[in-house]
This record gives sequence, C-alpha cells and structure tokens, in this order.
Amino acid sequence: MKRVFYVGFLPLLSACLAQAADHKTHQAVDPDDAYKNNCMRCHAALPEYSPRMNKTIMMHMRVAANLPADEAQAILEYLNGESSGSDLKSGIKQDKQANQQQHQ
Amino acid sequence: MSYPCRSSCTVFLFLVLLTPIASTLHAQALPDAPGAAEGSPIPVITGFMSYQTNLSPGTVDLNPEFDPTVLLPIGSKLLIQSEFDMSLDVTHDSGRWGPAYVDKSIEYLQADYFAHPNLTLVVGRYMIPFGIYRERMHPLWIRDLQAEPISFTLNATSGNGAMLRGAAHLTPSVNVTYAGYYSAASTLKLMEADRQGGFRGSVLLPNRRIEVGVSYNRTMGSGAHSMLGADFTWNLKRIPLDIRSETLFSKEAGNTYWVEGAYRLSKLGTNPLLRNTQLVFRQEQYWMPSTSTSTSTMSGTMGSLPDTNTKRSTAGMTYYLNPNLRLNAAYQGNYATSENSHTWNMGLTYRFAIP
Repeated sequence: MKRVFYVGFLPLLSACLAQAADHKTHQAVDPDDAYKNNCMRCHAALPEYSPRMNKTIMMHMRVAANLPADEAQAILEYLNGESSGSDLKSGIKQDKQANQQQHQ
Repeated sequence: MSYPCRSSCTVFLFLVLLTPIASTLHAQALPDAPGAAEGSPIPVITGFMSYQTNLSPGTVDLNPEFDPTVLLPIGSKLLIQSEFDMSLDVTHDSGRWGPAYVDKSIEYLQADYFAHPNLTLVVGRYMIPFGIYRERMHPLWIRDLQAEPISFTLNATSGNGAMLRGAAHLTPSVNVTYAGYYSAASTLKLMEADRQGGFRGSVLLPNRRIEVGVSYNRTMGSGAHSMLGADFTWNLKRIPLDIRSETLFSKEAGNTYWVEGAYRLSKLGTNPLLRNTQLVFRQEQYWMPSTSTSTSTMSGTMGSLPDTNTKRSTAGMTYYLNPNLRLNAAYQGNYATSENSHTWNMGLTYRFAIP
C-alpha cells in the first residue's frame, strides 16, 4: 500500500504543485475550448442558469471533475457569456446555443 | 441505533432548510445591479427524480428514485455540498407484489476548501474517487445507460475522512489530475464506511479529449482487499461518439471490465427526433477471484457480485424531451456460466435546479 502510494500518488502531487508554482506564466484558457474539452466529457446537454447559480455549480464541478482554477473560471465565462470583447461575447452565446442544439 | 441515523438526516435537512434562507440573505446583501454576474455564488438545490421499470421473464421491478443535492457556498473559497439518495425497489414475482424496500443513504456530505488553484482539500463524507463511474456517472441523469456495470458493485462506496485533490497543466496540451484520500471506518446509519485509503491519477489531453486514469484502493479491517483500476475516456471530435471504459483487478474480489460507446444521432439530420436521440452499447465481463476467499465475507458496504463468471451486453437509447427531461430504454443480456437472463429497462429522468 505504502509503496504504491509513494510510487504513484506523491510524484503526481509533486508534479502538480511544482507546475502550480509556475501557473502564472501559463497561457490563458479559451472559454470555448474549456467548455467543450471538459463539460462534454460527461454532459450531453447543459441548461442555462443565472450567472450566480453558475458560479455555485462551477465550484461543485471544480471538485467533481477535478478542474484547475483557470479552466473552471474559463468555463464560467463561457456559461455566463462573459468576455472582454462584446463580439466574442455574442459569439460565445451563439456557439453555446448551437452546442446545446447539437447535443440535445 | 436510530440516533446516528437521526443525526445524519438532521444534518442534511438542516442544509436543505438553510439553503433558501442563505439564498435570501445573499439576495438582500447583493441586490441586482449592473454587473450582477460579478456577485457572489448563491446556494443551489439541484438533483434529479427518476422512475425506472425493469422487466425480465416473470418479474417486474419498479424503481422510483429521488436524489436532491444541496450546494452551499461560503464565499468563493469554501463549498459545503451534500447529496442524499433515496430509492424504492418494488418487485412483482410469482404472481404477487413483494415487499417494498426503501434504500436511503448520504452519498456525500463534504466541505471543499479551494486552498490553491491546483489543490482542493475535502473533509467529511465523500465519494471514493476510484475510476470514472462512481464520481462522474453515478447520477442517473448523467449516465448513458441506467443499469450499472458490474464493477460498480465494487467501488460504489463513500468514505468518511479527508481527501486532497486537484489538477494542473503539465504542458498547454496535457493536464494531470490527482486525488488521494483516507477514510475511517463508520457504522453510522446512512454514513457507513470502511477504513480505506487510495488514490486516482489521470492524464488528460484536452485538445484530443482523451483521458487515461489509474486508481488504487486498499480497504482495511475484516474483509480487507486491494483493487487496482484503469479508466479511459475519449470524446471524439469529428463524430458525436463518446467512448468510456474501465477495468478493475482484485485478487480478492475478481477482475472485471466494461467498454461503452454512446453515439448521438445529431449528425444524421436536422429532424428533432434524430437530433435528440442517443444510442448506447456496453459490453462487460467479470471473472471470479481465483483465490478461495469468498466475496461474501468482504466489507459490508460492498454490494453483491455475480457468483459465477459473467458476460453482459447492454444496448439502449436515450431521447431528450428537453434539456431537463429524458426518456431511456435498454435491453440487457446476462450470460453466465450457469444461467442466462434477459432484462428490459424503460424509464424517465427529470433534473431540477432551484432557485
């Protein structure tokens, strides 16, 4: 048991934490990619909720799906249709509707 | 013995009652205004209701199930969450309806503290992170086939203790996830747990939508046993096909695997009937342990395994009436060394979230 723990879990944890020290230099996560690459691993369709409900649900999903903070934040931006540019924001909304139609 | 049960139920009911009060206080403290999306997270009650019917020659099983989940955020760093599971099993056999069994348990009642962007500390009662089925596919709303794979009998457990988990980007195209846990033994009603420890680690290729995971669990005490598992998930990009698989090896409990493919018909046309339909097929197999250890002597929180080598094939379909309501139907063939059996399943599942 101990051997498996030391061989398997501790190096993985160390790698994560070592990488975490450098996380500020990591590229920003694209909200659209974050949604498609993570949520659609299990969910076929996601209904729309209020932005504050989405925040709670993303806290839950960050634990359940083991998401790094930046990806959870990017998915939240996608779900809430938030972004720095209004064009991108409307684009995300259109894309989200298309995704939901496609996966319903 | 009824006192611990009452305590567990009280805690869950307390959370349920606290949720609307906390939601009101949040709303008063942060009135809607421009930028309300920037407000703090609010308490949410979500979950699902399901009604499943299983038909096999001479037998009818009715299984209504209600699974409410309470999410209670405290600021942006702490989340208290709990899922209560209540199901009824009524069987019609030999010409009469048998006794109805109500099965209820607390799947999890945990506090999650986001200590770091890549590390979450979990304390309380949590689902054991072994493989992908328990943590991700256990809600009837999410899984593609309502019947559980044989391996779920071995890892459908919860633990009472602490867990460290998280994920990080190894490179821009490779993520790693980890979860390590320790659980103390408990005989509290609704909160039963074995003394156990273990971990799950996975490598995720987000752009390819492929995840490969490895799990290990050691259950201690009187039915001590070890399990080693591997899981694989691939959501294809070009065609709407999801492939999932798990294998589990245990000297004491036996070996098993399942492979499942789920194909959405959305690419076949714009007809709503096609767009909202998914076809699923799963193949699984179980081999009895080669040692003389009887699986019936293993821990009490574990369900019953087949008593012989078994192959199982399941084919089904799901139709989404809307994003919160879906119909399902499936056929399962069970091919065992001594006896074959066939089961039809039909059901309806509704998901809710309030406020």
